[in-house]
Amino acid sequence: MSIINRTSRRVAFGVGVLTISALIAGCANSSPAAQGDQVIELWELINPDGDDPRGNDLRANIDAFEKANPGVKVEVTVLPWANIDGQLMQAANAGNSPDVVRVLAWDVPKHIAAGNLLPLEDLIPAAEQEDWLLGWDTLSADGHKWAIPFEYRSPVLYYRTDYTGAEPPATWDEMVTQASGADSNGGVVLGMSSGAQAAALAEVFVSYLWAEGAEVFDDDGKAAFDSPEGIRAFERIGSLMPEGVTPEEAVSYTYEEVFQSISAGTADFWLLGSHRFEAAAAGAGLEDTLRIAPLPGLTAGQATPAHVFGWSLAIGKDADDPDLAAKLISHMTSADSQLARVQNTGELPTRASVYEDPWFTTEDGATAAMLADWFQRDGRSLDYGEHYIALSQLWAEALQRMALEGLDAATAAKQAADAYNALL
Amino acid sequence: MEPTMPTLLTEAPPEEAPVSAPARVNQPPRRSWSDRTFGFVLLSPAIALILLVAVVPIGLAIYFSLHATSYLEVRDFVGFENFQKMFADERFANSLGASLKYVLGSLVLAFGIALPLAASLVNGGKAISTIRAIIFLPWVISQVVTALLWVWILNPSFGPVAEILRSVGIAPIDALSSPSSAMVLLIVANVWASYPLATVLLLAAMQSVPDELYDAAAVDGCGPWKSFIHVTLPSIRSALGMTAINLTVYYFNMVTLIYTMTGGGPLRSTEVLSLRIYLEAFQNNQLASASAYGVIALLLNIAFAAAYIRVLRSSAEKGA
Amino acid sequence: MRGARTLNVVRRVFIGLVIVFALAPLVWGVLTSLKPTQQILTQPPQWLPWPITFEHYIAVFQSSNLPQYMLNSLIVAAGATILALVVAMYGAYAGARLRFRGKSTVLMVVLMTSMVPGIAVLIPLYALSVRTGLYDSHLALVLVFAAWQMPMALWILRGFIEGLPHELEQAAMVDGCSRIGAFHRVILPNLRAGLGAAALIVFLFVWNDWLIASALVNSQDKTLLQVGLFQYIADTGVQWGRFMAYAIASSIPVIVLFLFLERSFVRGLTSGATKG
Repeated sequence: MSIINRTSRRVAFGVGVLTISALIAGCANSSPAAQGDQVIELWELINPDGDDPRGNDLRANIDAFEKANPGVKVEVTVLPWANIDGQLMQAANAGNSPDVVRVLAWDVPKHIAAGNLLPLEDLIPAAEQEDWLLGWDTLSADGHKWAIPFEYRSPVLYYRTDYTGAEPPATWDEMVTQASGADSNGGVVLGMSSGAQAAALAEVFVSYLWAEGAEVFDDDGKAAFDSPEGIRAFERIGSLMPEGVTPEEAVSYTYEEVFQSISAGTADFWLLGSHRFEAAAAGAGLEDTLRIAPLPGLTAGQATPAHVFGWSLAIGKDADDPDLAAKLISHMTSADSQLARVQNTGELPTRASVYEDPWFTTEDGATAAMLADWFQRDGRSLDYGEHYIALSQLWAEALQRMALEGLDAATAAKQAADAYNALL
Repeated sequence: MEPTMPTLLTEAPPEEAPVSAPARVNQPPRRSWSDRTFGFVLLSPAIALILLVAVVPIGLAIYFSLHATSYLEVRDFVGFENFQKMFADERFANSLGASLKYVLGSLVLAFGIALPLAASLVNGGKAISTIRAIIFLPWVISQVVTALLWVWILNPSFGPVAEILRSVGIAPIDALSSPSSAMVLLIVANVWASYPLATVLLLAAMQSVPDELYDAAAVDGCGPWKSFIHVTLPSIRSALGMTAINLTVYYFNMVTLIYTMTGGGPLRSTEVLSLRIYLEAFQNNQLASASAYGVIALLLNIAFAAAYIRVLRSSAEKGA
Repeated sequence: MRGARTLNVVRRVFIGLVIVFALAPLVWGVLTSLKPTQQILTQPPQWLPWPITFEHYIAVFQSSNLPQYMLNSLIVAAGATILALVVAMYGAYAGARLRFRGKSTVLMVVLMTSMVPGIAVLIPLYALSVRTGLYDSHLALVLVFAAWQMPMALWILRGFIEGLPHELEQAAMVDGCSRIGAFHRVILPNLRAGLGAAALIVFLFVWNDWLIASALVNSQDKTLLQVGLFQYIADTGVQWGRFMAYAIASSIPVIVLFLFLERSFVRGLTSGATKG
């Protein structure tokens, strides 16, 4: 009847039983909170039990907090970074949003509009409302503060000293020249995917919109990037692929593919977020040759603005004890913890005073100091609006059309702007 | 919920069970409940589940589509405004086109494999039960795994397909990032996972073609090819029709494979209607707009169902 | 005779091609999952792993939530199967044996609901589950899966019941059984093949589902298998060895089930339309 005979059936049955037992055994691993403990639910991207710098940093933070607050236990739910936003929305809809949650800067307006977060200005002590690199007013709306920035990043230029030399290209044109030509190592790679991770492109694009003198939104929140200056930015980025500077595969590249390209060294330059630098250098053994630098300016001496954003911490609307949740946030964003974090993981602090620490003048701190300098001089943050993800996809599609279908910049920009305004 | 196994029939549901004469003579003794009461009692849990998972949600979807919404909150009644916006949106037309390409392309390829395969297996007998199990294997693989396996095997840098292309002198491209080829590959992956289904249905139909017809054709001097065209195909006509509709419904409503393999890209070239619904709801958080798209999908499915019932009824009349 | 022989050859070649087509992605996936990472990322691709390594499987079982997710899928699939079958078998009996006006309409309605576009219905179901507090529960999943697959199970069982002679129940009722008693006593035991076929189909659907599970469940401890796999791919940096190990490990249980019970799968699918 079946293709396996009876004896094998018994064997398979036994194997099945063993497998199920193994599965059940493999599930039990977490240490439950003791009775009477107050529990804070924290949604994180990083596994505190993971043996990597970020995991250890998180573990140290949690342990210190629990020690300073006896009777309190922090329960960490680790979520994939691309999922955490959707999960928060679903959880808040269902009335069980976590106490403290990581929210990316551009997802905050969406959650504010949906009413998923608690305002923080009364929960954070006044003394702690000082000393922020970009001021206290970031991540605010309607007179309330909704999230505390946890770390900062910006898209940067990745280059290799063995491909390019010690100094990065000073201007955009120089970068393009060095990346093209007969001895090119693969050109300039940036993520141009228009899927769920279109943000990879948007990050870079915002910087160059600003560099050309364009704005993303006007005062009413409508699209302003189809101005003549904005169209120049479309031309600039949209011409990379037709001119052969950027390989065609990049049209479907997300963060991961660009990162992989960095690790494999398959291009001359990469435009990606600064937060991947440590992992790329360490993972591929490129500590000696991989470098990052501010995005090349349009002309010599004119820096391109840094598009500063990052993960923030917020309190879910269903938090049982907002005061305690706020305490955890304060703890995790204190100047001391941020100094430790930048030293161990390279994640850049959001508090201004941290940057004065002498560590930034050492060799280890050189990269962080360079970025800090750039952020302080030319850093800008964007007020993203509720439809930023849709906007990044519109930009990605516009640029893809320019690359694959030869659409001109002015039409591409106008189409994207009209489509965006239709969402409002 | 995409049916892994869409409902299949190769026969019309008869009004009465095909019974032999004695049963008709001996009616089951009447008990306290009539057939009618008893029948509805037995069917009531099924009806309750149907209400839960089909009737109420459809009603809600229509309700949502006629209102303005903000995240999960329903606001004012707006009549057909959502539909007007949707029809004016070029993404809607794009998604219909993509769905058409996807369904038709998959049908052609699936039948292209299933029909000859079923014909090849029809007289196989015991010897090929192992082969049958192997051939039908892709069917039990989930859509997520299917997408993953195909993305990997098509990898232009490290995949075997690319290597084979290179060895014959063709430079491999990242076909999944090209709008023209992404749909083709998606269809191939789809058919890989679903041709066993089509094969099984056609095979069952072919196996129930009476031998006498083939004998008669042989007597008339028909070779194997001719008897296939003149005997097999006409005899399984209704099965062909029903399989086609079944697969159409299945392909039209599919989300997971497409979402996992291409996400709708590149340039929305694979963003079919069902995927559009998913993205509108879970990525853009637009309940009303997603529901409007859903209502359209529902109407199209009703059209498919009507076609299905018609083929079913006509096959019952023919007794085939 | 010449014609028949060439046809035979063509037949075999074609079947051979189909076998290659069917197995190629799976075989490549399995080979990849057994290769050390350096051998995966080579160009030209290295065909056979040497040495064979289980590091990817071990990593995936130990440091991801695969075991938990598999267990969740097992529980929900078992629950949905039982519920769907119980509801379906009574309905199937009514459909097969009883006669009353409106029966074929009811049956048609039941059949048609499996043609409702899942994604269109999923969104209101999601909203409903949130409002009723059933969101993020295995109960909601079991209900939705069972309700969704029940029509299919009903048709399959109906086909099988119709194939049983009326004498069975009549004999039991002559002996003093009530109608429903006759069903339990006499029909059910003879329905084993049909129940098996229907059970497999429901189980397979739940095991392989991604869409419903991702929409209705949020917490990591309740996540089902395919959602877990998807998350794993999205989360981990591109690591094909790990991905393949996770994917193959997720598929092995149903592949094994299928190979053992292939006949029943096929029977269930064609719901009694074949003769013998």
